[in-house]
Amino acid sequence: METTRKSMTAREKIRRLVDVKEQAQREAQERYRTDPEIRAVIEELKRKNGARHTK
Amino acid sequence: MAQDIPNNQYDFSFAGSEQNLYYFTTHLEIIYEVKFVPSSYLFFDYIDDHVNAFEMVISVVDNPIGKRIPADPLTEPTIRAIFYDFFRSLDHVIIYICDSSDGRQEARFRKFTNWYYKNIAVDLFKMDARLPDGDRFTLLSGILSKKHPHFSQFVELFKNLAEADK
Repeated sequence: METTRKSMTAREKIRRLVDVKEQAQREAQERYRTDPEIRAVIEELKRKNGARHTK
Repeated sequence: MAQDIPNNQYDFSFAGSEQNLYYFTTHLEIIYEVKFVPSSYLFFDYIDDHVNAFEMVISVVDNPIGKRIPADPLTEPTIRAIFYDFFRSLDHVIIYICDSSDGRQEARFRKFTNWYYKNIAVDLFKMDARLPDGDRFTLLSGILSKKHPHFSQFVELFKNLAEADK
């Protein structure tokens, strides 16, 4: 999430870091629900994980 | 790109070159996303050059057990492996904010600090800032190489962030 150069106070930067984190966490859950490519990546990881833990 | 992974961590996948997304799942099928969000705006007041700063965001995207996630000794080394997979020491600056949504940010901060001091790559440097946020604290850390070309600007940035409430 980049923008044009704009001077910010330290407090504004911290607020933005927190906002970015919260937005990224919401988007992560949405991506998992709606993005078939991400679901495929995760299903493959689950499969590998399962195989490792049943060895 | 799934890795050839040792037994003390989980497999992980890099799933998005545009968004810098990594995923891993645990033996309880808890699913994590680790994202590195471009954050060069942090340095706008300090330098005209572009600085490759990223905010590292760790998200639980699915928790099928539906309650507080139990401690898992493989989670920390997996996140560390992801950090080092992404991190380019002479180029990147990584910022991490502890999640305070459940009031457990102090524990997360201790874990993160413990990880850093236990397994630090020799040339890395970390600075922390702890800021009042209502009845809680916002805890953040920044990591970069001691040889990073903008090391002095990073130190100045963190000093200013740490004094943001003064």
